[in-house]
Amino acid sequence: MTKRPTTTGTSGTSPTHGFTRRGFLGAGLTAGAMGLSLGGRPVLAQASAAGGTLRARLYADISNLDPAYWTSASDALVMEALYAFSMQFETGTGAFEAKPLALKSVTVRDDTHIDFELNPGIRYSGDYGEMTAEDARFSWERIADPANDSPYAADWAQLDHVDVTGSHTGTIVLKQPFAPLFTSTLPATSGIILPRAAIEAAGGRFTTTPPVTSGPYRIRDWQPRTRLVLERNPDFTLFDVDFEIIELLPIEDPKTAELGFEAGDLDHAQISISSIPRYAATPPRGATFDEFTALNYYWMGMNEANESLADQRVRRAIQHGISREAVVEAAYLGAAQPAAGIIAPGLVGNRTENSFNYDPEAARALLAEAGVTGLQVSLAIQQTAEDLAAAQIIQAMLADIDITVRIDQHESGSFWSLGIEADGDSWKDLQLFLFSFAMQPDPSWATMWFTTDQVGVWNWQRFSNAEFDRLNADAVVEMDPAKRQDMYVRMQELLEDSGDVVYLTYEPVGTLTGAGISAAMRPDGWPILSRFKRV
Amino acid sequence: MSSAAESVPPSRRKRPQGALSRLVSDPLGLAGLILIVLTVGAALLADFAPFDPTKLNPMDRFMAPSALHWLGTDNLGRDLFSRVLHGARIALAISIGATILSLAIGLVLGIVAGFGPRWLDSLLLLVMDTMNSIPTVMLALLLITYTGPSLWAVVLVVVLVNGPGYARIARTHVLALRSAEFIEAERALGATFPRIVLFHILPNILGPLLILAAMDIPIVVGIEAGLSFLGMGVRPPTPSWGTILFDGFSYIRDSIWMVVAGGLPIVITALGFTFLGEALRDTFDPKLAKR
Amino acid sequence: MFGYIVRRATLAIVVILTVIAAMFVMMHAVPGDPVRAALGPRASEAMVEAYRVNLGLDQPVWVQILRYFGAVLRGDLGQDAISGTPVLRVILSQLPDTLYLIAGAMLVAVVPGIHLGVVSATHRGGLFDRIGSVLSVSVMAVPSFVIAIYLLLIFSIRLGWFPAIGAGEGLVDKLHRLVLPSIALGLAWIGYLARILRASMLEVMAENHVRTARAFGISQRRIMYDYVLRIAILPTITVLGMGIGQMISGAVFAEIVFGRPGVGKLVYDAIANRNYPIVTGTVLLTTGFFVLVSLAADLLIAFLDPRVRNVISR
Repeated sequence: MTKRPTTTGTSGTSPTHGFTRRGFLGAGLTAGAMGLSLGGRPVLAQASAAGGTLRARLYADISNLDPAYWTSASDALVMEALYAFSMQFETGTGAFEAKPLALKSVTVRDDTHIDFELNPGIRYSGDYGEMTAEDARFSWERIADPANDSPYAADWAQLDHVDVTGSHTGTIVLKQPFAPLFTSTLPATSGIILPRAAIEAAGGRFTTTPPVTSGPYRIRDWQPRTRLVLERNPDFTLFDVDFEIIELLPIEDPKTAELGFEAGDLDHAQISISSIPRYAATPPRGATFDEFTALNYYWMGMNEANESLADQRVRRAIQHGISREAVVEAAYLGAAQPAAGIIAPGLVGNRTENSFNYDPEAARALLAEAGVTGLQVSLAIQQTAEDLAAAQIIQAMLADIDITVRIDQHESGSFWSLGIEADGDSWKDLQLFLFSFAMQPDPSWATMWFTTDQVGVWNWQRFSNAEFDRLNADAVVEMDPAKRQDMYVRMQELLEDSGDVVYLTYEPVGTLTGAGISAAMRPDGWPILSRFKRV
Repeated sequence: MSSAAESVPPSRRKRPQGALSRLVSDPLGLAGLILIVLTVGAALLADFAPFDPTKLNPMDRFMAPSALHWLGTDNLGRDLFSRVLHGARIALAISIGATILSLAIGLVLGIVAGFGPRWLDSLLLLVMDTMNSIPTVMLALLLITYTGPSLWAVVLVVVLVNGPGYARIARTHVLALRSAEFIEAERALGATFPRIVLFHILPNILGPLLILAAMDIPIVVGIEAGLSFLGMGVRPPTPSWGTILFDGFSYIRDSIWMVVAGGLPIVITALGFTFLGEALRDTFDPKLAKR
Repeated sequence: MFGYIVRRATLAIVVILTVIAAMFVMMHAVPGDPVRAALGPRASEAMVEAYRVNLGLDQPVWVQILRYFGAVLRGDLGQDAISGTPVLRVILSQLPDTLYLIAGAMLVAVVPGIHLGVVSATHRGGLFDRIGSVLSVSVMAVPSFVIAIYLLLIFSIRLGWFPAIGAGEGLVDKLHRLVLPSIALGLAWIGYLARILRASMLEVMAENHVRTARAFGISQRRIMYDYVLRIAILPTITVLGMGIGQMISGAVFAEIVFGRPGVGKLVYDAIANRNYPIVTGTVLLTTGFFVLVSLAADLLIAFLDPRVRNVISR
């Protein structure tokens, strides 16, 4: 959290008392939400007077805005502006803190019964009226229902049913305790509440044209691949919105986004990791540079089912043959630190010590012991500058222990199929690969891809360990953070012990924000665009 | 360009005396030769490059040109001058190798189309038309997603892009020559088909085709560099000018020297072969030059 | 003549059909498909399979090809495999920016290209002709993406005269952002134009009426610009038309380097994430355009040039 300025004027709901931004923002928003829910005040005049346009980068064009079927981070980013989330993460904080948004209150009665009450007066677009508890029941059960085949059913995996007790009140009844409920279900897309009538009118699901919205913004105009223009929703009253218009430009290449920011085409953009040191040293004139530790984890996997890598000693040798520091340094130009696992600092389950470190002597000894000489392996990567740099460093270091690495660059279409059994036979030839996964702020999101069930799906290492599987299942229903911490650390140990992975780093996030704008960022560098303010 | 060459070549040309001296006396030819000598020299001297072109040294990244690193260093601290020298090998090997291959294939197809039955001729024409009407980049991208990026894939793309053009020209010449008097005479004397092709057709069409091929080399250099720029050329860490340019584009805000080092040799080589091709044509094929 | 038109048009249609069929065969030989990208990492295998069936990817290639032809005849190019947006809408949303770019490139090319061609033809064999031809071949030789990167480096990044990315909004902004990519794409065309025009003018100049005009003492300048150029420009325009199809190739690079939306970038991305409907739709439109233009060009030449008319009846 470098160079985070203390600013004033978030919403005008409370006078400044020289609070730090963090404290101030938290206090301001809570007060605002309470004020609205108690008094039902109309939206503050100041927000509309502010007006103006915020132009921000979108990582890719939107592809699906249905809470049950969205696909990309861009979708999630836009959904956060279009829908009133049940809960929302605080911005400007060091740790993740979710606060109710559409929900007025959430009360944990016991581990399996969670009472909720909706804020009154949340109006849907069109003729769909006011948000009710019945809508919540419909929306949540819609995602959980196996018949709907939502990819996000796991977010409601333990949902038994929702009891509606009043127009705005209800109870979430779980089959078992479910820790991610408050970290990656309610404060995320799976907590979004939409009216049944609208979804049914749309034929049960929709893609890029939401039949209904409820959030601070609504879509004014979408030109595919060119721009998405959002305009302020005057009916939205849960918090004050500063910008009249948000213009989102899909720019996939972060380096291009940097050029765009410097040319004045963007007010806010996530930049490439390798540019972080440069912008940290000298941000563009008037702009603010911020750095965050993201949740995304980056690692090199090894396919233990491949003949050349079947011997654990060979994989261990590769673990010892790679200096994680050197890889991270080369790929990210000093912007990132080596990781010892897949659960980022700040989350329950973060692991601090790596077991198998750079030791070329040990690596050579292991290879000799395994009777392997002149090993040739391929390393599958995507076509990014970072992957390319990391791969070439790995290639050079493994050459040092007499392993020849062939770098295979893939476009996204073929890369994401490489290890998937249902997509062909390429998983058999897959050997080493560089992988980066995004996740929600709950450790279960990191480990869920490495279970035996996932072998041949996203577990390309084909790592299979009974203890790991058991811990993965148990940790989700464990409510004691200290116990969860131990369980997740143990899982990361098991994964590393197998020899199937080299943990590389958590991808830091660097953002640039233009003069006169105060960005509203989650601790992982995720922008909540509707909360951006003018300074 | 192709329309220019489709005119019937003069039969039985005599080689002019002192070809090289005539070429050198043409300023364009001289300039072309000098630029090509630079490129070829770079390729030949690559073994004596000051550094190993694949040796990484991340701490020395993004260095500006200096007495030690003549063109600076790249994002992994590799010496750009050494990489450019080795890149010349790749560029020349691919462009000359692929051009010869497309010439050979084009010739065979053209002769077959010209001498073969009508239906075969039509079929080949259709295939060539089809090839020509798909934009080069799309053809290349699809092909390489299938084969995976490699040196051979680049060669294949070049053959598919340039081959049909040569085939077309060869065919036109063959059609015109087929009924030429001296061929008819040979045939009447009982000359075999291979003999006619080898001794009469080939010598007549090879000259203009070779000149065209020389002028096409910049296109091939461009294809190689372009594909590498899209991450679909030679595999890393093999130094290719296109890869250097791509890396340079990625880090254009960190250092301008990678872009300079990757782009200039492409410009030099492209100009060299074009100038030489022009001069060759003016010198040896005045009929072509007339148009 | 009529027979020729029919033959030529049939050939054009066969070429388009062959291109599309070849596309399908190639794409289905290529590993990977758009389903993972469309559904995201958390989709179940059952969902993935259902989506494939929905896209028709489970069918044999020839069935897919026939279905596609059937749909195209009904004017349906299918849906974007990832967002479900109609392909035509996606392509049409990208087309304007690419057309502006190509128009910009043409504009960059036309004025200098025509003058270079005229000067070369007028001073045939002289110093101007030599200089003109060196200039033409020089700009033709250097790949446009190298020029694009250098323009970006010098005028956007170093000097900051032009914005680096995007297509912009509003006329002035759009024009401002068109300058560098247009130059990058159009530079080579100065050379092409000059060459074609020179050759074509020399041919016209050799004709009798030009000599007659000269004999009547009409000034050289007037003869060249008012008379010869007017005739000679015709074949040049047809070549230009056909060049537009290949300009898509250059547009891919220009759009990547300058971060512009457009058809080139669209098809590049679509190939990378295996968005088949977009790829086939774009290829169909561009090759269709290319084939039609070259058909029109051939017919035009056949009408205008009696020599060709005779050759055709081979």
